[in-house]
Amino acid sequence: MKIAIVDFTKPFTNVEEKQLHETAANKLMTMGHYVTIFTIPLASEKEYEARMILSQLRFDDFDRVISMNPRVMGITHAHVKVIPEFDAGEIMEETARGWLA
Amino acid sequence: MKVVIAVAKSANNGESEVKLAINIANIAKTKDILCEVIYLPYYDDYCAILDQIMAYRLIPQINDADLLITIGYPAFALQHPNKISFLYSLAKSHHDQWDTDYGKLCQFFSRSRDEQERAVICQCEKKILEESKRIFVATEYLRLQLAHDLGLSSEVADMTAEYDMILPKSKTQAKAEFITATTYHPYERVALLLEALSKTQHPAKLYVISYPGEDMYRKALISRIERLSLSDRVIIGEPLSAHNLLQYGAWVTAERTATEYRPEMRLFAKKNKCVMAMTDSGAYTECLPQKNLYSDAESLAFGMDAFMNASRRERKMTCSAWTYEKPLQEIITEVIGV
Repeated sequence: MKIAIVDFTKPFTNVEEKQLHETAANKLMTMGHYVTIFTIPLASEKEYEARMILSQLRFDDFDRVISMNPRVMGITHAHVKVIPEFDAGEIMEETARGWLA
Repeated sequence: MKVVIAVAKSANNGESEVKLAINIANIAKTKDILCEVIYLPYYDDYCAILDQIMAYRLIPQINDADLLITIGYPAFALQHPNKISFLYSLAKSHHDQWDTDYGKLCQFFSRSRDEQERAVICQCEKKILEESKRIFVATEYLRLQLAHDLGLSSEVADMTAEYDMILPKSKTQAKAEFITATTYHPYERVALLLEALSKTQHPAKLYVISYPGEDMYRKALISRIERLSLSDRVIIGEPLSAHNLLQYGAWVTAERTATEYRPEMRLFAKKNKCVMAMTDSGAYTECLPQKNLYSDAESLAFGMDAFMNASRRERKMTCSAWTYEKPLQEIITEVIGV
C-alpha cells in the first residue's frame, strides 16, 4: 500500500509529533508498505487558512493519508485518518494495521 | 546557515528528485550546514495544476531558513527571498506533450480556449520562476524549452541520479535481449515497443522493469501483451542491480519528449552499451547517435533485428559525451555559499 504520512511541523523543530511520525513510517515500511512523510508547515496557521491550502493539495496516488494531527482531515482523500497517540517503544502490527483500516 | 530543501513528489514519480535532495543534504552536512529536506505532495493532473501551484504559494514562508532549494515541479512556487530551483520538467501536459496525442488529454474546449488555459499556466510558471536566483535543469532539451516557452534562462546541471548499486548482485543470467522501464504512463509508449517487438523477425525478448504506477495503465499494458501474443516474449519484473542490468543487450525506450534521462539508460550509455530511442524522444536525441533513433515501430523492429544479427563489437555504441560546465558537487557548494 502507498501511504502518505502528513506532518505539519516547521523545519528545524524537533517536536514529539515529528518523531512519532518517523517511528510510524519505519514500522509501516517494515510491514512492506511504501511510505512518504510529507511536511506541510501549517501547524501554527489559523484553521481556515490551513484548510484552504490543504483542500488544494492532491494525494490521489496514495492509498492512505494519515497523521497524528487532526488538521489532516482538511485533505481531500477517500481514506484520510487521524491516528491516535501511540507508544513509540512498542508498536504492535495490529496497531499499525488499525491505522490503515 | 540553515537550508531547507523542498521536494515536490508523488507516489509514482520523483525518485530522481529525492536522490538529488539527499545528495545536496549530504554535501551540506559535510560543510556543517544545518539542512532539512521536506517533501510536498504533487499529483500530475492537468485539471488541477493551478490549484496545486496556488496551494504551494499559500504555504507560509519558511522564515527560519536562510536558503530554500526547491526540487521538482511545482516546488518552486514556495515563497522565499533566497530561492534556488532545480527542475526535471515543467507541467508535461502543457509543455512537452501539448502538441501530441498525450497533450490532447487536457484539451477540453475549443483550440483558442485551450491555448488561453495554457497561457495562464505558462504566465504563472514564468512569474514564479523569475523569483528564483538561479534555475538548474536536467537537460539541454529542458533548458531550450524554458527559454522558448517561458523566456527564462537556466543552467544545465548533471542532475541524473547514479543508478542504485544497493540491490544485491545475482548470478542470474539476463532473461531477455532488450530491457526497458516503465511507470505505465501512456507517454512512455511501452505499447510502441511491444508493437515493434511483435514485428521483429528474430524472437527477441523484452524485460520491462516495473515501477509503481497507475493500476489501470498497468492492466491495459498486460492486456496488450496478451493481444499481441507476446506473453512468452515480454517479462515484467522488478528493478535489477546495476550488475544484472548490464547483462542485458540493449536499453530501449520510446518515451515521448523526455526532459530527463533515466539513470538506467545513462548507465548503459556510459558502458558503451546500446541504447535505442525514438526520434521524438526529446532529451534522448541529444546524446544518442542518429542510427540509434527510430521514427516508428517498423524501423525500431528493423533496428532490433539488426542488433540481434550484429557481432558483440558492432553492438557497442558511443554516446555523445555529456558535457557540463561544472560538476554537480561544485554547483551545490556554490549554491549553499561555502
